[in-house]
Parts: sequence; C-alpha cells; structure tokens
Amino acid sequence: MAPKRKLENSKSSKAKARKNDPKVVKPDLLTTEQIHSLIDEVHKSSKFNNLVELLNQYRIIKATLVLSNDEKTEISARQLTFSLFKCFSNLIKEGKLVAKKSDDDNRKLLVKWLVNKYNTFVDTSCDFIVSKFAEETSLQLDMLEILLNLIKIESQHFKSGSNDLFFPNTTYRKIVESLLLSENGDILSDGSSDNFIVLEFVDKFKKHWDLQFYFFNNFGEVLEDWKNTKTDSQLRAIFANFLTLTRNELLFTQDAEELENQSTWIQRKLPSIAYKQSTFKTQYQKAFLQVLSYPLQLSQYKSILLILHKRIIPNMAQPQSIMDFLTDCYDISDDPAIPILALNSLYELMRKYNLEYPDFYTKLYSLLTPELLYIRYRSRFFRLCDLFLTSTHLSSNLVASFIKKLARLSLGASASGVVIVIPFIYNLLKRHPTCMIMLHNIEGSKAEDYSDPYDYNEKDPLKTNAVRSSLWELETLMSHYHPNIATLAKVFGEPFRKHSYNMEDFLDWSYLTLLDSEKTRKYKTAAALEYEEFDHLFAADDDKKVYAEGWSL
Amino acid sequence: MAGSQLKQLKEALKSKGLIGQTNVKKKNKKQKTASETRRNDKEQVIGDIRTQFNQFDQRINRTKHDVSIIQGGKFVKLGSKQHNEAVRTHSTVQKTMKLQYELEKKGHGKTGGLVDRRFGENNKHLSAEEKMLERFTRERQASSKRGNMFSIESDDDNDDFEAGGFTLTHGGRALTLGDGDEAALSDEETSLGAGKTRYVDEDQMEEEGQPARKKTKKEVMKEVIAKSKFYKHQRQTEFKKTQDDIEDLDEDFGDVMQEMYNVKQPTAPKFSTKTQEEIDYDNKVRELTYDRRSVPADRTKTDEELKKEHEEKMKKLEADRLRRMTGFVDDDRDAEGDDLDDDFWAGSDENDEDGFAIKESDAEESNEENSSSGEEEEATTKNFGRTLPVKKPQVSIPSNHQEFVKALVEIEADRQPAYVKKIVEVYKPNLAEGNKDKMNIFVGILFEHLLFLSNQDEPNSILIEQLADIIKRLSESYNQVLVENVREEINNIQDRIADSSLLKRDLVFFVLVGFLFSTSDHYHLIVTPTVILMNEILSTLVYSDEATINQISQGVFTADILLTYQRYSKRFVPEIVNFLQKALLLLIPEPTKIAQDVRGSIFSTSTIFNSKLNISKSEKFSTLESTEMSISQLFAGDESSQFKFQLLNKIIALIDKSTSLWKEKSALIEVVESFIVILKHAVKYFATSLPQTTNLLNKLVKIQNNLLKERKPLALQHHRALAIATFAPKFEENFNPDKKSYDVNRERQEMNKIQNQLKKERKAALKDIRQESRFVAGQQIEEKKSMYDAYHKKMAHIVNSISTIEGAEKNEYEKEKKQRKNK
Repeated sequence: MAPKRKLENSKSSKAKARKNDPKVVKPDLLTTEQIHSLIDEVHKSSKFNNLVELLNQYRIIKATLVLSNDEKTEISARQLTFSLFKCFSNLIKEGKLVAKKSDDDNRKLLVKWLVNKYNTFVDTSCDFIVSKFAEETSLQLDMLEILLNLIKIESQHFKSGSNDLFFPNTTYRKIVESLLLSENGDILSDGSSDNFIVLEFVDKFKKHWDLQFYFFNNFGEVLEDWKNTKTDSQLRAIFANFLTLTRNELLFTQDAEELENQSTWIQRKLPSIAYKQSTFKTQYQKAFLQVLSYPLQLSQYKSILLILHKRIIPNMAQPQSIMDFLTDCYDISDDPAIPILALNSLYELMRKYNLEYPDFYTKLYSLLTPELLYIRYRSRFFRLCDLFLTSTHLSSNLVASFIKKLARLSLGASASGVVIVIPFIYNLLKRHPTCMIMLHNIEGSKAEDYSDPYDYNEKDPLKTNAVRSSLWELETLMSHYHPNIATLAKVFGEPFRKHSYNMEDFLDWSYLTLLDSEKTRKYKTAAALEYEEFDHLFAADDDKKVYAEGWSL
Repeated sequence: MAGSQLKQLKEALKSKGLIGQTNVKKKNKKQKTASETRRNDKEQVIGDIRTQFNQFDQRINRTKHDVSIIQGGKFVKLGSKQHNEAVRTHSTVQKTMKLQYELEKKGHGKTGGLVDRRFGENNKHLSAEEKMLERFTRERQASSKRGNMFSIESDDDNDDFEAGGFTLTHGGRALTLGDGDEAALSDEETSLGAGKTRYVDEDQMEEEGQPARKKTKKEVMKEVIAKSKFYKHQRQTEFKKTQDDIEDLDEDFGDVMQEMYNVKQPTAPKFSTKTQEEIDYDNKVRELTYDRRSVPADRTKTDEELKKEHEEKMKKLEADRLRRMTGFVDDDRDAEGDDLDDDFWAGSDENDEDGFAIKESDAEESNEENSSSGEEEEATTKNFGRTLPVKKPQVSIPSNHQEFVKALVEIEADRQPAYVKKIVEVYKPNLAEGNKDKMNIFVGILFEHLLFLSNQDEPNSILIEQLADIIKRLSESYNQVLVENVREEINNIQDRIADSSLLKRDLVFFVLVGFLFSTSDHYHLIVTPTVILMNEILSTLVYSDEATINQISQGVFTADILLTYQRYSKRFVPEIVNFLQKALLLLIPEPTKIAQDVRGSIFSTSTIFNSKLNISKSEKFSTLESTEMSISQLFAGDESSQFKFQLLNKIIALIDKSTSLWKEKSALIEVVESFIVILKHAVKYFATSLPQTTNLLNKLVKIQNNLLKERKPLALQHHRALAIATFAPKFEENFNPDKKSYDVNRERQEMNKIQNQLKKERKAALKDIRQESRFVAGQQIEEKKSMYDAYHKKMAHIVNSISTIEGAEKNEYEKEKKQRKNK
C-alpha cells in the first residue's frame, strides 16, 4: 500500500501546515484533524458510523458556500471530500461494497449499508455540481474529478466476473445529469453556456469514446422527463450545457475498427454495445430530437443550426426525423437568420435523404425580406439560392419573381447587398432567357397605358406577375453612389456577352472591405477640388451661401 | 499539196486568217483563226508556217515502240514533234555553250590588248562627226607645229622643242627646265580639255606617255632623300637667324628698361576728373542698360471682359466636373496639383495679388485688428519682390499640432486666422529652401486643428469657418498632402464607427470633405471612401436592434450631408431610403398600427415594433420656429420629445430633398410609395404642428401619380444584332482548274503574278548557270583526259622509238661482235 501511505504522509504534512495558521472554523464544522482521525478510525477499526458524521458535514458546507465564498470552509471541504474519496476507494478496492454469495446476513446488511453511504456520497457530490455557489469554487471541480475517478475504480471492481466488460452506467448517468442541470454559468450570446464545470468536463469528454457513448445512451427518456417537469428557462440552461458538450465533433466514426481503437476513460475495453453503430445512432438521435424540442432561445437556434448539417445529421439513424425541427425553424420569422440557416440542413436532407418539401420555392421566396441583404449569413443564403435556381426547367414566372423581388429589395439594401444582387440577377437572366423581357420589352414600352402588374405582397412566386413587370430598380442602381456598383449595374444595358459571374467574388463584401480596397488605391492625379464657393460651412445669420444648411456647430 | 511553194504559202496564210478577208463566215466554224482568238499569237502562227515550209530543218526520229518520257515537266511521246523540238533546242544550246567555252578558253590567261585611246573614243557626248572634226583639227595643229621646228625664223627654240614633242630624258625622267613651264603646259591642257572632258591627241599621247612612266622604287627613294636634305638645310638656316635676332634683343634689353623707369606715371586716372553728378549719371546710365527693357503692360481689362473671363473659367470647370461625373477621366486633364511644380514659382506674383490666403475683406480685418504687426507684414511683403526677407520672421511654423496649439493659446481667437495667414505668407515655398516641406506639414496641422476645434465643447464657429476658408485656398497647391491627411482621418473614423463612438469632428469632417472636394465625381480618391463611411454610419442603425436617439440624430445629419454631396450627380443611395424609413418608424407614435400596410412596401424592415423612442401619441407640439439644429445636440443623447419632434421635422425635410433629387429615377415610384404609407400615418398626429408633413404627402402622391402614368417597361437591350461566327468551307462557283488566282483585288493579283514570274525567272537563271558550269566542268575533264592521253601516247611513242633504236643498236652491236669474232 505504498501509494496510500504516501498520500497519508502528504495529508499529515498538510494538516501540520494547517495547524500553524490560526484558523477559525465554525463550531459545527470538523477540523482537519478531526476528519483525519475519523477516517483513520474507519480504516483501522472499521468504525463505519463515522461516515455518517462525515457525510453530514456537507449539509453545513453547502449552506455556508451558497451564502458567501468562505475560503476556509472550502479548503476543509476539499480536505473532507478528498479523504472520503480515499476512504471509499479503499473500501471498494477491499471489496467491501460488493456482496458475495458466501457472505452471511450481517455481512450483507453491512454491504448494503455501506453501498447506501457510498451512494449518498456520490449524490452529494452531484448535488454540489448542480448547485450554484456564491462564487465558483475549486471544490466543485474537485468533486467532478473525484466522481470521474470513482467511475474508473467502479469499472474495475464492480463488475460481476473478472473477464466481464463493465462500465458503471448508473454513476456516470448521475454525473451527466448533474452536469446538465448545473446552474452555474450563464447562457452566452452564441447559445452555449460558460459553466466552468461543464467546460472542465468537455476537455475529458471530447477525448474519450466511453464518456460520449454513455452520455447519449438511454438519455432520451431523461430529457423527456425534464421537458415535462422543468420550466422554460431551466430547459434553456440545460440546452446550453448540452450544446457546450456536444457542439464539438464526436469521436464516432463509421469505421468500426477505428471506433474500437478510440481511447476510453476507464482505460479498458467497453461492452460490445458501445461499438454498435446502430445503437449509438438511435440513442444519439433520440437525445437530440428530445433536446431540440425544448423551447430554445433564438441564439441557440442559430448555433445549433450552424452545426446541424455538418456534425449532427450524419450521426443520426434517421435524419428525416429532424425535419420537423427544421420546418419549425424555417417558419420562425422573428429572426431572418434562422430560416436561412435551416435552409442549409434542409438542403442536406433533400440531397442525401430524398426529403420532399412541399411548396419549397414559395417558402424560399418568402425568405426574401429587406433584412436579408443586411444579415451576416446572406452569403450562405445566396449560395444555396443560386443552387436551387440553377435548373433551367423552372418556370419563368417563378424565376422572374425572384429577380423582381431581389431587385426591389436592393433599393434599400446596403452596398454589400447590392453587390450580391446584381451579378445574381445577371446569372439568373442568363440562365433563363425568357426573363429577359423584364429588361427589354419593346411592345410594352410602346403601349399607351401601362401599369406595373407586379404584386409585391403575393406570396406565391408563380402568381406575382413579375415577368410582365420591368426591372426599373436595376436601371436606378446604374446611378448607385458607389462607382464600382454603378459600373456593375450598367451590364444590364449592355449585350449579355459574359457567360456568368462567379458569385464567390461578390458574396463576402462589407463596408470594411470596400473601404480597404479604397485605402490601397494609388493616386495618379491630384484629387479634384470643388470649385463652387460657399461662404459658410454651417448656418449663419446672414443670407450667404451655406454648405450644411439648417445645421450649426 | 498542190501548187507551187508560193501558192502553198499563200494558202497557209489565208487559212490562218493572216491575209485576205478576215470576216468570212465559215460553214463549220470549228477552228478559230488567229485574228479571231488572239492577235498576239500572230508571230507564233507565222513561225509555225515558216517551220512547216522549211522541211530541211526538220528532224524526224522514227521509233519502234510507243514510248513517252517526261520532258520539261510534261509527258512527251518519244519521236514526236515536241520531242524533236526539245532535242533540237538542247543541241543548239550545247553548241552555243561550247562556242562560248572555246572563246573563253582562248582568252584565258591572256592579259593586255589594245587600248583605244583615240581622241573622244570613249566620250559618249560627242557625235561621230564632232569626233572626226576635233581629231582633224588636232592633227592639223600638230603637223603645223611640227613644221615650225625646222623653221629658221623661229627664235624661241625651247618652245619649239616642247611643242615638237622632242623631250630630253635622263634615266627615264624628262629633263625639264623649270616648274613654270610645266604649269603652263598643264594650264594649256586644262584649257584644251574644256569642262569634264579631256581631249588628248593621239600623237601627244605617245609623246607625253614617256615622262608619265612609273618611277622605279630607287628613283622615288632618291627623290625623297634629296627633298629631306633640302628642307633640313632650310630649317637650320632659319634657326640660326632667329638665334642671332634674340641675342641682339637681349643685349638691348637693359637699356630699354632704363628708359621705362625714367618715365613718370600720371597721378590720377583720367576719368576721376568727373564730378559727382557725372558719376551718378554714369551709374544711372549703366543701371538703365542693365535694366529690363520695358514691355507694354497688359491692358487693364474692363469689367465686362473680366466677367466674361470668369464665366469662361466657370464653364470650363463645369465641363470638367461633368466629365468626371460621367466617369470619363483621362490622365492628361489639367491636374491642379501639378501646378505646384510649374506655375507655382512663376506665378507667385499673381498669388501675391489675388493670392490664396488673402481675401480683401479678410486683409482689411486683419489690418484693423493688428495694426502693429500689419506694418511689419507690409515691410516683409515689400521685400518679397526680389530679395529674401532679412529679418527673422515674427511667426514660426509649427512642426506638429501640439506646438501649434501652444502657439495659439497666447493669441486671441479673433486674431488666430490672421496669424495663420501670416505663417502661410512668410513660409511661401518660393522664399526659402525647405519651406515647401514645412508648409506641407503645416497644412496637415491646420486640417487637424480644424477638426480639433470643432470637437471642443463650445466650438468657435467663426474661427472654424475662417480656417476652413484658408484650407480651401491652400488645397489647390497642397493637394497631395491634404489627401494624405484626409485619408488618415478616414481610417480613424472607420475605427470609431466600429466602436460606435463617433465624435463631433467626424461629422464636421464630412462637411469639410464636401466643402473642399468635388463630390459629384464618378470616382474620387477622397469622396468615394468618405461616402462609404457615411453609408456605414447610416446602416448601423438598420443593423442594430436597440437604436439610440444619438444614432438617429447623427444619421439624420449624415444623410443630409450625403444628399448635399449628390446635389449635381444625383446618385441613388439605398441606405438613405432605408435609414429614413427606419428612423421614421422609430420616432412616430404607434408604428404597429400600420404594420400590415407597411409590410409590403418598405425597404427597411419586415417587422415593425414599438420602441422606447416612439413619440407618445398624446404629446402635443407647437409649430417649430426654427428648423436649425446644432451638431452638439446630436451627441447630447437628449430623449425629450421636443428634440424628437425636431428630428422628425428634419427627416421630413430630408424625404423631400431626396425625392426631388431623384425625380429622374425610374424606381422612384417604389421609394415614394413606401414613404407615403408611413407619412399617411404620421399626418394623423402632426397635421397641425408639422404642416410640412401634409404638404410633403400631397407632393409625393402627386409625384407618384405622374410617374405611374409616365413609366414604361424597359428596353435596355437595343443592340446591333451580332453575326454568329461560321466556319463553312469556301465554295468557288466558277471553278476553273487552269485559273491560277481567284483574287478579286486586281492590284494584289498583279503583284502575285509578278512575284510568281520573278520566282520562275530566278529558278530558270539558276538552272542555266548550273547547266553551264556543269558543261564547263565536263569540258575541262574531257580536255584533261585528252591531254593525258596525248602525253601517254607521246611517252609511249618515245619509249617505243628508243627501244627500237636500242634494238637496232643492239643488233648492230651483235652483228659487229659476230663480225669481230669472225675476224
């Protein structure tokens, strides 16, 4: 028992150090020496009743820490926790927590009692992880580590046969639940949580396959229970923790052999169920469908949608089942970004899993809102929209509606939005020459009484009559204030010789990049000056010429 | 063939159509006569007839088998007429070549020959008769002179000897009596041979040929030696003579110097006798001579002319502006910045007058204000004419902004512009070296200072205006440095926009850019990035969910300036439309009421919500007295409804301004429509307090109705139809295998033809040359062969004869021996 002795030594040295500083421990809190002596008694003289007293300590500790961050209490609590961990791990290693068939009744009773105490210890630790203290304490981190270490020990000693593969599922489930329920931390702007315990756990979580597998295994039911019992804000917090844990790529691969070689936390092979592709996929899907049905924040929608099509859908057994969620997202109109992000995953489902989406183009058309040209994810949308409108078999009514609406929106769009719209429309016109009538309508221009038949508010792109309208908006854009955009817009007045524009060159502009390209411009000639003379910059009392009329300094 | 030769000939000529009736109509016109087909063939036809009749020239080869060979690139039947023809020509060629060769061989290795030097033989300018005549006279003259030789009366013997052609020679050299005679002779010769032609008589030639004989080397050397000896002697005597002269002079030198010393010098120079007046006069005269010649001064222009000139200048500037607006900027436009290099130095006098710093009114002000320094200023400006100011300048140019601020602290605000002007005056680049760099820095400082002033809590607007005026005047000369400063400021503002911490100076900066630079250009180095910045400010309101009153008010100001920028070019700014709508929706009471109506038409947003900024509907306002707002207000964050009301008033004015600016735009209907929806709602609350709203609404409705009537579908694609490129093979309709060229271009065809001919000729010539040289080589080999043959034959013959003789001798010897034995 060399390591144990060493530990005890270090403990005693610590205790000595503790002795030197005059500390004031609350009357009902045990001192370090007391703890040590109690633990020693458990070991040496099997005074298991001491455990009760020790475990009761936690109640006092929790009450203190919730109110204020008392450093001394925390230190002694850490001491206590560590000692208890040592104590329990020793008991486990000695086999005192497992009932054998040969044991007599008394012995069985003792084992049962000890198991009960052990469970109390685990539950208390979990409870500490869940509860929010006045300040973040390393006690909670310690407890997480101890719990995880207990899993290691359990996996070794709790198995029924020496050759069995065993993972302590129940204990791990408790840890996971407490982690998700943990009230620490806040929901960040990207929808995830900054819970320090969860973040600590993520480091281990992302490296070990067993933690990942048993996280999702049979988790769906728990999540469902929570959904029925918890309040909305609690569910959002749970989701934030969940997202923080699962947003990284999992170790899961389609390659069974590679999967078996993934490192595990318990450092030995897992039961064969952990390597079954279908089991994991089903469980994973269950968990996700459940968690996605929670009432989420808009930011959480965004962040889950951002990773959905790349990281999550491939791991699901039946990706079609996520469609309900996507459809809901697609219909959210509070934030224009969410439907656009959902579009990405929808496309993935349509492409790979043959999803049929009714009135897809109507929905797509409804996404063309004034905000579209201002939001950050517009390039994502236009990439996909370009793809959806590629087919030359689309009705010209439909394409014309898209063209007309985009042109209309560009009248109030930012420069970066207009930059996208112009080549986009050019490509559409090139691909669907029947829509050229919107630029060149000779009969219409000769007609006596002409009124614009386009219905801006019509939701169905097939019924907007856009094809009989004209693109005056683009003509107006030919005099856009930005010289390059104005020149770009002038292509509509020139022969359509260019095959198509490469959209990638136009998607990611912003005022910043526009300005950057101006900064680097070399000047050959002097900047032209205003020759018109103004007598005043700002409004003055006399009647002379003023530049900024109606304003004074 | 019947009849005599003559008859046959006649017949033949007639049948070919060369004699007799040519226009006889034949019954079966199979063969065309020569005259009918080609007149040029006449010669050929005649030639044919001739050969036909000359039966003896024809050679007929009869061949057993029908064999065709290729001759001259054509299939020719062996023994046919054509073949014979070719063979014959070949043999003739061979014969001529042989002849030629023989001739050359004969002449080979033979030089010299008779040179015909008879008078005028080689002169082409003389006709045969002239030649004869001239020769005759010459002969006669010569003979008459020869006759004189023996005449006793003649006393001039020498002449006679000469004329007679008897010259005495020694060693091949003619013995002449002197150079003079020879010259005379040559004179006579030149006079005889008038002009270029030189007439030489046959007889004379023979006589003169003797002395003109080429000298031998020995003779030449002798002559050279003799000459050099003669010259050497001459030089020696000359040298000796000069030496003697020098010696004589040296002897006399002492005496001469003595004399010189004895002469008394005059006490004063002669011109010193002049009086002071005279000296002054002289000086004046000298000055006058060096003075610049007076030139007629430019006529003082009349007011009308000045006005016209100004108008023209304005017209030119306007034309330039228009050109830049449409984007047609070429590099050779008169760049104002370049004036710094060329005109700045030369035209500095002009600058003094209507200069870039002093406006008359300003100058007066400054004179009044600081009379003490005004005098000094005058003193220095007087000196500017030609010399540098001797005094140390009273003002010192700052090297950075802090220094400048420090210097200005001591000066009252009223006098600061005068101070700045003085710095500009004193540090004109043409006054001292390095001033230009200093001024460059100073202009930057001035620009910075202006913005610095405007950023203060209570900016002195008069001072700022005056400084802006100075910068405007300097901007022409210091364009580049100003541009650099402005660019830097743009970067700073960009950072401030990112932090959403705009300053007052940034808004003033926008005004200043519009004040200084031409904002109507299609592309402008400064204005384009500034406009981007302004739009970025406008769109931040659209991006942000929680708009503040500051954002709105600053945006209103920016939009106003942006519209002022576009007062000429009338460019469309989508951000302004969007901004105005959003701002309106944020300010008017109860925007959610119109949410349904608005959704379909406005560009700003599809969701409308009540914000904390909306003016409450119960609030009552009295009409505004003044619409003027100050920039400081925009940063106060004042959320009082009175301020919002003022902003609303501004926004309505801006809508008015923008719609009248864009009245030409075809999509204005949509823009106007979106405003109408919101304004209709706004009118309910502000009809009395803000009558402009009602007016604007009516105006917009009117505009919309008019535009709706006028607007027609676009027809932008009126382009010339483009031909599709085809690659079909070219098909010649009148193809003729004999035709060489189908070129339509007559000239080119001719050219090609000639080139082709030239090529052919060259080939033929080369072929001939080769043939000839081959022939010559063959001949030479043959000759050599025959020569060797002859030699061997000869040798064999000799050997034979020797052996015969030997044999005979041997026999003889044997015989003799036998005989002796027998004896």
